[in-house]
Amino acid sequence: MIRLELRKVLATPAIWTVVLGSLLLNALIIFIPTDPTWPGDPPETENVFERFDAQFIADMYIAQNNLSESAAENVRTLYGRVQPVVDESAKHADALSPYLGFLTGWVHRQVFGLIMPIAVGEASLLALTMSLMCMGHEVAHDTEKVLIPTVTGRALWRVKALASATSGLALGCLVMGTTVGFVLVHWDFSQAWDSFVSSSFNHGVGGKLFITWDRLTVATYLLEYLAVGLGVVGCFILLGIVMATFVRNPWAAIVTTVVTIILLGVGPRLLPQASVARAIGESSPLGLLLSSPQWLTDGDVNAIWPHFETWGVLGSVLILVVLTLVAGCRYAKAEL
Amino acid sequence: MLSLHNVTKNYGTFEALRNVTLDFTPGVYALLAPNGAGKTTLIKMLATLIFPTRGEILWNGDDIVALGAAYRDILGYLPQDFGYYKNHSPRQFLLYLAAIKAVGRETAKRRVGELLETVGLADVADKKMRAFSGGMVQRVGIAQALLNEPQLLILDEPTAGLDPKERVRFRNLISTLSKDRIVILSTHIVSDIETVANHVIMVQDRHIIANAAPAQIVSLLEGRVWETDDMAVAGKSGLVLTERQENGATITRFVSDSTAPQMVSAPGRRVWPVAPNLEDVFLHTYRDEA
Ligand SMILES: Nc1ncnc2c1ncn2[C@@H]1O[C@H](COP(=O)(O)OP(=O)(O)OP(=O)(O)O)[C@@H](O)[C@H]1O
Ligand SMILES: [Mg+2]
Repeated sequence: MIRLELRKVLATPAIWTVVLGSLLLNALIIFIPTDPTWPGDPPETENVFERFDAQFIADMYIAQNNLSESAAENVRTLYGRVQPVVDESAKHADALSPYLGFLTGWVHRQVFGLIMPIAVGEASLLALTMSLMCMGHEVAHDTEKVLIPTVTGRALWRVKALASATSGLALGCLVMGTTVGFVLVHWDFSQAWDSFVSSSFNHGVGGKLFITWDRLTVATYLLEYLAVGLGVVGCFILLGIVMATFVRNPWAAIVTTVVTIILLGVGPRLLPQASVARAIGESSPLGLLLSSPQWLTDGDVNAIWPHFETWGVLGSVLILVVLTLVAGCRYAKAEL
Repeated sequence: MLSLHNVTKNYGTFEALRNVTLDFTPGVYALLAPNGAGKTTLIKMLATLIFPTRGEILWNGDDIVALGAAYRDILGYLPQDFGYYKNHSPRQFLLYLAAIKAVGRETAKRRVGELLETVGLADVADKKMRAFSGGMVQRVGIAQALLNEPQLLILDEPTAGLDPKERVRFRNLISTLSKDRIVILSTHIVSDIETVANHVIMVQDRHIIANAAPAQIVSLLEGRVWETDDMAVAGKSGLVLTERQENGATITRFVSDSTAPQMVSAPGRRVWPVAPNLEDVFLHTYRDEA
């Protein structure tokens, strides 16, 4: 059954055009820019975490963003929790990890600040498209009236939801996996896997020290990053299922979904920085996508709790699972 | 076998059917009613696409919605307007539907072949449906309804779009099918009913107003249908049904309860009684509807 539903969506040439287009774009971004060269000898590595005061970052955020007192308190509390992480890294001298040597800053920014965020975005868009297409297929073809009064009946909705999840995750893995493949072809990571990502060669994404909540090696960082990416892809799959069920006309469903995503992305930006409301608001699927360069780290000024991406994914998934169940119950009783 | 008890259906505040009570045993039932009377509404409830606002629909004593898959398994349904996958061939489409209907692979292949033969589409079985005419699509729809050899076959305007030859073929098909199953079809085409239906169900003003054999329904107008070659007579004495040209004269058919001899005896006027048919009953029953 699920195979038949998968065949309907995967047989659409448009999907494969988007897949190929995405991979082509990623390949261009990876292979075209030339790596910078270092004039003279590379600098010495130093244990940058030693005697580092995490409140320094807090004060920087507070000053730069003119935070209110409660927001400033949120930020100070967070960096109070960052301090032991910094001390632990200092003790183990993680910052002395070679990673990719003097190329580290550039490659890390390219891979985790640009290429992978794009790949996760493409995977999410594909997954969303797959579930909108899969769930809306019979309304679009006006075939519900033929398919539902059969022994399968409204259980077809479940089959389609499973097909959406399967195809969305599969295409997500395909795009993200292939992109990682390109990255590994272009840069030699073979010596880097066991290095810590908090290398002092790595000046992070925002120009500040790159601090992860757990002491992550390049390999574990990549794996956890991909796991969070799949979580976000999962959110978009569920969002597609929910939208296509509540808004029955497929075109209206697409428009509503786009509007919803934009509102979820823009809305929280109107909230005060570093507030709890803002942090929750930026945990929407789009908010998570936009923050992907900071996943697994202390985040930007608006990330006010540790592992913001994990809680964001869990929260979004939880809400969307509930909405999906409501949608399923609603479809079971819907007049068609 | 299939029965409706006091079924009422509202769309929001609009009441489409009220207190419909009907019993169906094997045979062919024709729903005859004008556009918008509620035929599709009734049929969609039987197909569990929509649900009664009040009342219940029972199959062998059990509620059809509660029976769920077990009920839908014995159901064959042709919707009034339905979509299909344009880049599928009839064979692919029917095989897909057979899978949805949980018909085994081998059985499905055989059934699909037979049904394509039955509805006269064997020679285009592997052509894409994109280029099909309305009548051809309709025949795919009829074949689809029969895939699971349903005990309860419900067809919403099955002959819409069929040419006379295909319509005859369809009637013969229904006659052979109706031996031990319930066939319910809606139609506006009176000749379909006269040839295949054992029962005619008429709906008016949200109610079932008739449920009887065609002959019995026709007998309602026994002795009240006339024809004349003088239009003035028809207009004055009753409801004009139809007009036709015959040997250069216009023959008007009308219903009148007033005493016939009076009209016949008028000088120079010719009026003669005729046997009523279903069309007369239809036109007479729904005379006030727009
Ligand atoms: N989904 C709906 N929402 C509101 N009103 C509806 C809906 N479906 C049908 N109706 C109304 O219910 C009445 C019965 O419609 P229905 O389609 O059952 O008629 P029908 O007898 O099948 O007509 P036709 O011969 O044109 O197919 C009509 O007045 C129609 O406008
Ligand atoms: Mg209808």
